[in-house]
This record gives sequence, structure tokens and C-alpha cells, in this order.
Amino acid sequence: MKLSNLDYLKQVKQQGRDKMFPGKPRIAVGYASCGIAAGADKVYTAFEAEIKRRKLDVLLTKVGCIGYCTVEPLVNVSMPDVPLVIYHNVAEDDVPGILDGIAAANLSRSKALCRIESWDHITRGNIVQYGKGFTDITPYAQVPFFSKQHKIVLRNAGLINPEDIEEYMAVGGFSALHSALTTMTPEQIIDEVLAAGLRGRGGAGFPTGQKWKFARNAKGDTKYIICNADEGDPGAYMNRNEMESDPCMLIEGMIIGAYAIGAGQGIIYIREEYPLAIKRLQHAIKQMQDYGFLGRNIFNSGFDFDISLVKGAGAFVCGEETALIASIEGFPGRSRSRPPFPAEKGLYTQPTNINNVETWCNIPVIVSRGGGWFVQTGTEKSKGTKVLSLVGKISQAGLVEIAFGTPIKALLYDIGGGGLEGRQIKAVQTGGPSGGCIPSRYFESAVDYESLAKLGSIMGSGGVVVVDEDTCMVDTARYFVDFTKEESCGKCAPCREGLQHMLDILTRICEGEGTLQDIEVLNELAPLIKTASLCGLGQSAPNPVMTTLRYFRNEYEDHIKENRCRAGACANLYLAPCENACPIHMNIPAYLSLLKEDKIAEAYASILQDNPLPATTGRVCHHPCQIRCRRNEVDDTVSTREVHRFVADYMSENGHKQPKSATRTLKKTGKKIAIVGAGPAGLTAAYYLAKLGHSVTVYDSYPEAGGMLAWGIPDFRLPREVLNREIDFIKKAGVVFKFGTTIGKDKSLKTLAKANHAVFLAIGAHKEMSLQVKGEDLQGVLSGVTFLRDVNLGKDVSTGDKTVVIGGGNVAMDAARVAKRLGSDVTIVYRREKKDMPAEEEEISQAEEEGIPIMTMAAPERILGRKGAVRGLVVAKCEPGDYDQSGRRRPIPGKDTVTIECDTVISAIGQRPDSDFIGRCGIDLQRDGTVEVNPFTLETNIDKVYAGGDLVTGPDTVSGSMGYGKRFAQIIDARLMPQERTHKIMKRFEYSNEVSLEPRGGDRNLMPMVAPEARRGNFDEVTRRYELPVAQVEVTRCLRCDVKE
Amino acid sequence: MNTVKIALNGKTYQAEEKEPVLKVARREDVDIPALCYHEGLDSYGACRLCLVEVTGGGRPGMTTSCTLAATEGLEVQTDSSEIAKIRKGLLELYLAQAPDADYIKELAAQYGIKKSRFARSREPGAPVQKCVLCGLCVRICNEAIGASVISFISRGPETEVNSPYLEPSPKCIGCTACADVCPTDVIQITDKDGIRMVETWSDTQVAMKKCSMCGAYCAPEPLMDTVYRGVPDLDEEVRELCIKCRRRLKIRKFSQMTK
Repeated sequence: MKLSNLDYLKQVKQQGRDKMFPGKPRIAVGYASCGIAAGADKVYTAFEAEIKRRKLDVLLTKVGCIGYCTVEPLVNVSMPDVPLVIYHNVAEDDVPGILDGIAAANLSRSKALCRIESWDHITRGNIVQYGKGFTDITPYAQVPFFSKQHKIVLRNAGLINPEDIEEYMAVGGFSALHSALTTMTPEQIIDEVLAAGLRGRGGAGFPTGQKWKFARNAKGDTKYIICNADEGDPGAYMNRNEMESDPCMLIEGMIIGAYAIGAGQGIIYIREEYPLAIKRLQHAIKQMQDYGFLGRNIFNSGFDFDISLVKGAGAFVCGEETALIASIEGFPGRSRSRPPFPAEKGLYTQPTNINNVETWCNIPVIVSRGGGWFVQTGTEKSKGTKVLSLVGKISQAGLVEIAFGTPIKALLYDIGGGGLEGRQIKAVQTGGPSGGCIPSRYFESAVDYESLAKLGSIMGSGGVVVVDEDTCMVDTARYFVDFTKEESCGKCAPCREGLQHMLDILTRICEGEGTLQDIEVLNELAPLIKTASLCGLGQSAPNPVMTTLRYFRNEYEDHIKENRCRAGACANLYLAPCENACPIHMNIPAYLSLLKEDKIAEAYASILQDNPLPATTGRVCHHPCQIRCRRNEVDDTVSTREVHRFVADYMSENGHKQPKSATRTLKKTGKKIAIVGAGPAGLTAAYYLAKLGHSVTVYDSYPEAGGMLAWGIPDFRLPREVLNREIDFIKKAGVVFKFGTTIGKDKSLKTLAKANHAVFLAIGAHKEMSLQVKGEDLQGVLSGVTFLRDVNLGKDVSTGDKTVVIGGGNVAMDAARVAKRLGSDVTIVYRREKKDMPAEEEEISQAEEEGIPIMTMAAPERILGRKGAVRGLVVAKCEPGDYDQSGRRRPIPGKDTVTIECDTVISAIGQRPDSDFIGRCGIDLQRDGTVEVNPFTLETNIDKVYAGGDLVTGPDTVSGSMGYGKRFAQIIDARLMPQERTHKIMKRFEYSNEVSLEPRGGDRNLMPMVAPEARRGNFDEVTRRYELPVAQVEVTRCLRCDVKE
Repeated sequence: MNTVKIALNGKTYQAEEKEPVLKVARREDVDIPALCYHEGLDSYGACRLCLVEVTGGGRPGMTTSCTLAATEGLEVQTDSSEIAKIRKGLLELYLAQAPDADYIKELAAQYGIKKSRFARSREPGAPVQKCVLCGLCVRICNEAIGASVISFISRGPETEVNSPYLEPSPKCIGCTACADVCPTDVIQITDKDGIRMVETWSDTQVAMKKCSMCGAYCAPEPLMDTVYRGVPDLDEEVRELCIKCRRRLKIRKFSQMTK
């Protein structure tokens, strides 16, 4: 049944339309490999059985995939005159509900993802209308995953049955082929492709029209065209879906191309690992042969062309065109040097044109709509769209199609919904093993050939792998080099030998055995492999190494200099994820296990050896250990923070003195060290240095030790006696404190440096940042940190009846809760969304429990006054704007404002170091008041003077500052003393390394809390420690990631 | 054949059109190192040592001179600091791959390399490492001799050359062309007791022909069969003789004639 005349073509098209709009309900299950993996086959069978059981007159069919992989299986339901509804995450249980909706002619809303009223299949005049209604279901264009996509290649994917050529024709299929063969000359087609500016979608981006021209002009008896469907980048599956969801489009493109080039035979070289794509292509080829779209004299044009499938055995190098040709010819897949290019001497030495699947897929629409239409999408040099597979640590993974020029951040945050489980995205890896890693600071860049190349990466075939802080960039580079080394054909030495050496070096670094020399060698080896390799595989294989070295050199140095893998990916370099995440590297599994074994005194000794302030951090630490805890994957984190608080409190309440090991010091060394600032960084440094036998003096401007712990945190979170108890231990270790002394004012830094062997600056960040709004100087406008400090100093601080606290951090929460306790009515105003608040989750929820409302998306505009005093705050309502580097949306203040009546405004929008005095002593300050130090030695620009804590980082966390203190102690001891001695103050504890095969201990035990009503009007501590039996159950929940064998 | 003019390092030379630039350089004594090039075989472009830079008259950039065809007006730089750096890097890789190959040591020394930073530690008594996988043996056996005894096995760093399944090959004609073209002297062949043993190709054995006159083993049987296939008119009597005895026979016949 050859379709040679137009009327007949139209008739078949109508048959296809009748299948898409059968005049009765149509249920179409998304049935590509991804859907099947998610359970689409079971859903399909369930529909089949239930329709049969209910004897429903419904058409059940299969479609390809619309790309939203995270929410598969997807099911489309359409009925006459109403919108098509797409259901997500459909399980077998959902089948009856969906069928009920159909029977009731009112489709079920449960799990409805979106509705489609009409769909533009783009090829001329093929807009299909479904119907109107169901306005409560989100329209397709408003689903975030779809809204910024621009579908050209994937225009039919997920909407038509890929196994039925008639449905392809129903949405405009083969109309381009018909007009190409009957109305255009081959040259006209090539001109159209040239005018479209189409570039190869396989990765290199060579202009397709030019390539065709070479092949057309080449002399040869027979000419071939090849479709490269050897998609093999890890995490990339663009071509698979293109073939599984719309195989006819690819073949139509190939027939048009063959006609333009003058080829009589086409080959699709597809990897064996794509069985469904192979099946659908074979099916499509068969149908097309039956209809006469393939074979002799297509459309009576005199043009003969046929296609065969060649299955590749899965060698990555066979994606390289010369190796691919060798493979088709039956030789091992090894590349050869070009020239001669395949256009001149290709398959069986005949002129051959090779294009990627997606390139061919773009052809029908270009012929149908014209090059002029095509160039309307994209950038100056990259026209049209690109299909990308968005995978990795992203919340909404899937196959997306975007216009060239779309910024990376739109791809990641609008379409992808940001990092997995709200985590911050660190980088994206584009172009697979041949591509590079792009760090978040370049997410403004556009996705197009030139922009990505400028960043050292490549467009590649479209794989976009998202990585977050749990991904180690050295390990990522190692992974890709391991891949390319395995896949190297072995013909040329730079690729074969060079990649192996590169892998050896990277493995060494990942195992903590690397040297700085290794980085230099990598820096030499990478360009050698790039320039000297024979084919694209070797020429691009160093890209992951080069880009990670360029953007993440600090991670390489961390591995080499500090033996540390912050991401917790390189197993040799850490004990357990919790320990690795802890800034002071507490041996968490040790104290959990010791407590489990009833050795509470030893547990305490173990804790104190790692952390001189356990009762304090046990209350206020931001617990990165818990965020990384692997128990999260079972249910919830182990309460590591709460357990060490328990141990410290329990021991002190029961009259147990601090273990001797904690105050025992080594023999006096005669070295003198001055520490400026008695906050967490200074205290920790002082403690360890004193234990190591050095003479330590700590200077502080305030009358007592503790820094932010003492002045910035209210009693109900950290009672002063708890902090003082721990500071006393530090004093016992021999640390001398000099209070009321400001360095730079009362004593010069020069004198201090002269009189000591080393000076550690750790003055924290105590200066409130200015709001920069009108009315800031009115009476009743307070700064958050000053407010908290005055309360903690016991000053008489009065807030009025109504207080507004501006800010979203811990200081803002604390200030609000204090003001509430002082009797004021409090509102918190924050300019971003609630999920963006930097304060700890428990602080936010406790503030809310205490009756403090939080107004989000509200930016302070001006403070209103009356007679010099505050009478209100005007806030502008914000709209979410563009994404910033952290992946949060910038708040854009709108015209609408709200006035909040109040008599006190507390501003807590962030702090900076109060570093003017030390700046005058010659320390180089950054614009934000921080001090830049060598990240590995903590040295400042002045000899013998070091710095750490918030002074270096800007306002950060307690344990982060303590980490600086601990490192300073190690660094300085190593500098001043002839040999390594820190191990002398560290004891090894013995504990069981038995691991149960099943997770134990049940649900997480939360700490008891004082009821919100009982917190009113007092500063009593809100949380209570565990009881011993509870703590001992909680510790059994640990999965013991530290046990490695 | 058309003659064209090309410039190597600024000096003009005559070349046949499409002739490999490396061939021209060799003829004209312009030094370009190469491991995988042989005039009798198609260019292969694998060793990468013959990389040169096209500076004019063609697609500019680095390319291998063995695969670079001479065209009118082509300008090539064969030795710049950039090129030397690449060759140095490659030789360091080769030195680590084939620490026992004298030719590699020599070449490396020419480029100032005594020791490779990539050298792997080896146990005493570890097997000799000389092969650089240039592929000359494979190509000469397949393309020129047509025997196809050996090929590349595996891929990437595991690549090696040997006979299929690492078994003695029945296809070998014992011609030793592989050993003759090997730049690093890898291939071990010994003749003993009427057998030519190619140890490197999984102990492939080829029977030697015994001279029917003197009884000495003169050449591998399959090699002689191959040669004789090309000269069908050869005297049956001569076919069974070694070279010396052939000469003797010829002299004897000649003296008989003169008598």
C-alpha cells in the first residue's frame, strides 16, 4: 500500500487522528524505558484488566515519554471536548480512581499533574485541540518543570503512540518529506538547513548544512548516510528517548537528508543496550517500507533509499565517526586520523555523512517551517533548541528541551527545582566524560556551544549531571578518567598511556597519597593528551580534570595537604560522614559506641578530647553531622548533638569531675602564644595549646570569656552556668585570660607579636550591618547583637509594646524570642521565603511556637517616626525574582506596602567583624571587614600573626570557629616544635566494632522541651537533656559507617 | 604524478603531490621522529611523535606529518618549542611503557629525558617491556604479507599484540617481516632443529625446509611455498634446494654444458 498521492496521505493522516481522538476516552500510558522502569508496564496491565472487568468502551494505548522522569509513571487521559489530563506517579492502586473519573465524565483530580487544552505539533497547521474545562487543574505551561522548556524536537514525545506511524502522520509527520521530495531540489534543502544554522547535536557543533554540502559534492559510486545513535555518556539519554518516543521523526529526517546528499543507503548505528529503541525503530522502518516512504521511487520522485540498523556492542569510542565506520565494516572500533574525512572517504571508502540522532530529528521541522522560522529560537551562533538530560543531585530530573541561550540557572532552578532535598548545587557537569564541571558562580551563563566552551566545558550530546556538596570533584574527575581510560581504543599513546597515568595520580590523591607535584604533573599531562591524541575521545578526555583543577583546585589541595575530602566521597580520608562533616572532627561513632557499652565516663573522656565545650555545642551547634548522617536514608538522623550534650550534662550533674586526661598538659615548652578573642575559636585554640604545654594568654575586650556564646546567645538556649562550667575547665588547663583589653586600642599588635611566638586573631563578627533605610537613627531602632549583648550583660533593656525584628538568621530568632520574653508583642519580618531563612529549623519553629509570627517576602522600606521615636515600619511586599548563586530567589520589592505599627525595630540582618582596630595595626582587611588568610596555614599578611573563626569567614557557626581554633593549635605546634606531638594528647579508646545487619533503635528520640506556655516571661532553658535509658537507645540507632571491614 | 613545492621550516622542497610530508622530510634529511611510520605501508598516525605544525597553505594547527599530504604551497614547522614539548611528553610516556627499549631510551635522551616521572616500579626479574604498540608488525603482517597472524588484543592500556587466543598461529609463514620492522626489537625468533620459533607470538612454530642436496634447513616451508606460487615456471629440481646448493647446481650444469 504505497502512499504516492497526496489525497491518500491525507486519508491516512485522518486515520491517525481518529486514533488520537477516538470519540471515546483514550488512556495512554507513558511507555518508554524510563516509564517502564518506574512501573508503567504494571500500570498498563492494571488498566487493561480493570477496563475489561468493567467492560468500558475505552481506548488503551501507549505513548512515549514527555520527559518528567521524577514523577513517572505518567498517564494521559483524554475524552472528547475536555482537556487532556496527565497524571503523575501513577501506581496500580490509582487505576480504579482514574477510571471512575472517566465513567463520571469528570476526571479525577488526584495525582493530576496538568491539563493540555491544545498542542502545537509545529509542522505547519498541526495544532491539535483537546478541549476546555477542568480549570482547577494546573495548565501544562504553568508546571515549573515545563514552563521554561521550548519543545521542538520533543514536540510529539509523550503524546503520540511511537509504534503507530499513522499517529505520527496525524500530527504532521511526512508532510515535510512530501514537500521536500516533490517540490524541492537537493540544493534547496541544503540551503534551508544552512539558513537554519543547524549545528551537529552530537557534541562538536559542526554546521550540518556544510557537512551535507561536502558529502553532496564528493565524488563516489555510492553514498551513505549514517545516524549515530551510539549514545554512551554516563547519565545521558536524550537520543534514547528521541528514538523511543518518536522514531519516525528521526527516519523522516534521514530520508530528507539522503535525498539532499544523494545517498541511497542509510544506516542507524545504535547501541545494543537500547532494546526498546531498536524495537521501535525496526517497527517504524517496516511500516515506512510498507507505506513506501522507504524503498524505490519514494513519492514517485524517482528517489530510492532504504535504511538498515547496525547494533553496536557498546564501545564508547564507536561514537567517534571513524571508529563507528570501522565498527560497521566489521573491524574493531579504532579511530583513524582525518583527513580524509568521511564525507570524502567514509564507509567502504565511499562518501559518507554522519549525524547524531537529534540532528536528524531537527530536519523535518526545518523543511516544514523553513530556516527563517528555525533561527528565531536560540542565540546568534547556536540556533534552535537542545535536548538535555538533567540528572544527578537535582529535585526534578528528566529530559528537557530548552532554547539555546537559556541560562544554566533557569535550567537548574526553574526546570529542575533546585538541588535534591533542598541542598545547594555545587556544580554541573556537562558533556559527559568529554565535558567539564561548571561551578555555581557561572550559572548565569547560557547553555550554548560558545558559552560552555568558554568555561572549559562542552555542549556535548546533552548530559547535564548536577553535583552538590556531597560530591567530591577530585573523585568526579577520577570517575570520568577511569571511564575514558577503560574506553580508550588503545591506538595512540597519549590517550592509552596518558589517561592511565592520569588515573593513577587521581587515585593516589583520592587515597590521600597525593603530592603537590601531582597537581603540576596533571597540569602538564592534561594539555599533552588534549593536543597529541588522535581522536576526539583522547582530545576531550582531560576536560573533567582540567575544569576541576581550574575551578576546584582547593579540593585537590584539601586532599593533598590536609588529607581531607570534605564531600565525604573518598573513603580513605575520613572515619564516617558525621566525623567528616564536623568542623572539629569529633569521633562521633566512638562516644556513641562507648555510651552504648555503658562506659559513660570513657564516652565523656572521648568527647572532651575532641571538643572542650561539649555541653555548649551539644545545645547550639548547627550539627552538620546530622545532615550527613546516613541514618537519614532509613528514617531520621541519629541525635548525635543531643547525645553529647547528654553525656556532658549527666556527668556534671552527677558530680563527676572532668576526667584527668582533659586537664593534663604536656611538659612546659616555654613557647608563648597570645590569642585575641575569647570566643569559641580563641577558647578552643587556647585549650589545645595549653594542653600541648605552651603558655597561652587570651585577650578580650569584654569582662568575661565566651564571645558570641556569652553575649549573642540567650540563656534559654545556652544557660550561662553551662558555658562557664566549661570555660572553667579551660582555665584549669592553665590558660590565662586578660579581659577588658582591646588589641589595637589598649595594646598594640606589634607589641603582642614581639612578646609572643605567635598571635591568633579570633575576634569574631560582632558588628551589626546597617539596614540602609530611612529612619534608622530613630529612637527605638536597635541592633540585634547589641540588644542580645545588653540583655546578657544584665543591662536594663526595655522594648516597647510592639517589636518588629528584621532578619531571618539565628540572631533575629534569638532577639525576637528575647523581646517576647521581655513582654513585647513581636513580629519577624524577612525578605525571602521561609525555606530560605538561614536560622536553624528548630529555632524558627520554637519562635513560632512561642507566638511570634513570621512575615516573609517583606522588605523593610522605611521606619516611621514620631517625635524622634519609632512608630511603625513600612515593608514592601516582595516577588520572587531571579535565582542567585546559592539557588535562592532574589526578593524583588514590589509597589504594595504594608505598615506595621510598632515602637521598637530590631535589625538583625547580619554581622561583620568589628575589625577597625586590628586594621589600623596593619592587618589587611577585606571590604566586609574580614581578614584573608592562607587557607592551609592561617597566616595573615603580618609575620607571626594568624587569624581564624568569624574574623576570616564572616559570621559563621560555633563549631566552624572551633574548627579554626583547633587547626591553629595543630599548625602552630607543628611550627614551633621539632616533631609532631598532637597525638600525645589524643588517646585511643577501645570500643566494639560490631555492626548489626538491620537498623536498630527505632524512631529518633527527640529531646524533651518545655511547653511554649511555660516559657513565657522567663529565661529558663527550653530543651531538656535525655534521660539515660533514652540516650542509650538513641545511640543504638547509629549505623556505624566508621566500621569499614 | 604532479610535483608540488612545500616548505619545511621555511626551506622549500620538491614533493610529489599527496605524498606524506614525513616521507619528504626523511628524503631531505629533516629530522622528524616516528615509531609507526613505514614507507611501504599506509600511514597510521598512532605514535604521534611525528606531530608537526601547519603554518600556512592548509588547515593550520598540529597534525601528524605521516598523514599530512603534500600540497602546493604547504608550509610546515617540524620543530618548535611547542612541538618539542609534546614530543618530550610523549617520550616520557613511552619510556614508562617500554623502559627496556633501547631505541626509546635513545630518542628520549635526544630530547633530554633520562627518567620518566611515570615510570612504574618493577620487581626484579619482571618481564622485559619493550613494545610501544606502534602496530608496524600488525600492519606489515596483514597489509604487506597478507598472513594476518597477529592483531591487537583488548583495548586501552590493556592493548597488546599477539596471535588469536594467544595460541600458536598456523597462519605464520615465518617471514620475520614483523621482527624486521619493529623499532624496539621486541620480537624474538629463533631457528632450531628444523623449526622456526616465533616466541613472541605465543610460540608459533613454522617448519623449515631441508635442502634435498646438502640437508641443511634453508627457509620456512610456507614462506617458500608463498614465494614459489609467484614463480610457477621454476624448475622442480631447484625448488628443493637451498641457495648454496642452487648455485652449486647451476655451476655444475654450466660446467656440464661447457664440457
